[in-house]
Amino acid sequence: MPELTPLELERALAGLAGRIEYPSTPALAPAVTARLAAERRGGIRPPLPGLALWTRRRLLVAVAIGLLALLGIAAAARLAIGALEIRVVPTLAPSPTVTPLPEAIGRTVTLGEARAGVGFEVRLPRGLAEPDTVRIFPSPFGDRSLLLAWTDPSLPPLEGTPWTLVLLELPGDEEYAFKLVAGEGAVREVEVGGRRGFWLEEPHHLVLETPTEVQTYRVTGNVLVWDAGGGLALRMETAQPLDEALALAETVN
Amino acid sequence: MEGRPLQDPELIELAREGDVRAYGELVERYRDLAFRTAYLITRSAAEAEDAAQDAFVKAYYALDRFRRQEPFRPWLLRIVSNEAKNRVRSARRREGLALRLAEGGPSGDAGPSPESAATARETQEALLAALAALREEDRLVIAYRYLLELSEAETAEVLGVRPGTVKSRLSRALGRLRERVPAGLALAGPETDDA
Repeated sequence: MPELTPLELERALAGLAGRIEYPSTPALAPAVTARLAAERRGGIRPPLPGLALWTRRRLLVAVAIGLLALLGIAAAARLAIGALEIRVVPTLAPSPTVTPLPEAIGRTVTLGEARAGVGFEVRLPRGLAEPDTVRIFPSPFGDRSLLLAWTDPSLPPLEGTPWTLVLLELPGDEEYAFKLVAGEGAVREVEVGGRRGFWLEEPHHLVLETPTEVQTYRVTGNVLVWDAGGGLALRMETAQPLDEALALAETVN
Repeated sequence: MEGRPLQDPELIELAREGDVRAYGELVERYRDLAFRTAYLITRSAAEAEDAAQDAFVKAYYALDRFRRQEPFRPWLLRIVSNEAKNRVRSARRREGLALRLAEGGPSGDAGPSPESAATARETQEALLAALAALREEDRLVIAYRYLLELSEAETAEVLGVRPGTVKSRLSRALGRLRERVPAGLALAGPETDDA
């Protein structure tokens, strides 16, 4: 007898949906609401989800931001793509961190380890060799983020670093990467592959939050951030002008 | 008070304001799907329960980051999936996927004969065995689409990939599943082609 055709296989799988005997689902609602109520009573977490974020996590970021830009929190604009938020602040104070980003965050892994270790499809620019540096770092929310850096000589060097391109891949919906820019004129809205993005040409600060610390970096290169779909925000640092950066970004998949 | 059941956005708004009971209704609404999603990843009922419970708690505290215009279900399942995957990574344990068929035949207009019901069951059991033997990436994309009946967009959200990637990944996974299904099995699907 012949093997199943693709259509027959799909039909057979569709027929399975209602026929699986899963372990019985435990009573999750009482357990979850009891935990939430107990945490509220015990003062472990505040009663409102939004307040929880401020007290538990974002206060830390706010302090970092406040140190950088004295009046920064009274920002005029808030622009966000997934895990990455751009905050427009009146002025930027000198950054306390001088270490170039790719040397300072997470741990070095191979590209294969990165592919196996992050919960999303790793995006790479077409036409470039594999990145020279791959680092993985955790978000405060259990996602694993990725930093990729190239020394490809076909691209202009990033001032003060050995790299010519740095790509951050940030999964998740909750912000843990913040860009602080001085003045709204520093941010230009663009589209990459039909998706929303922003272009920043002026020096600015990047604040990255991990489960244990908040790190701040001074960025001198041009930066393109965009929504890559599937809950992934990408940030590309380059010395290229906007049109070339957009062309390169269009190849990232 | 009698009335229509509250919709997800209404329950979410109440939960955002601190109404834990409203959030409990959301948990009740999605507990089966959340638990089954976690179970397909962890392959352990106990781990799946812990992962689903932790995911619901995390989701509650993350509600103010949830975009109102987006559907709640894939957003929640992404958190469940992350939580379950983190547990698998921590445990470094791989158990066989112990999915079983429920007793009794599928419901339908006309009941199959005992012989054809037995054949159909045999086919479905062979399919489940072949599915369990696939690598995780293949197994999950098939399980999300066919066993949990998530849409392509929902599957993309939960896997953290683009919808186009779901299509290509699913196609490759089905190809590998076909290779593992013994030839000669009788068709057992929701519809049959009458000769």
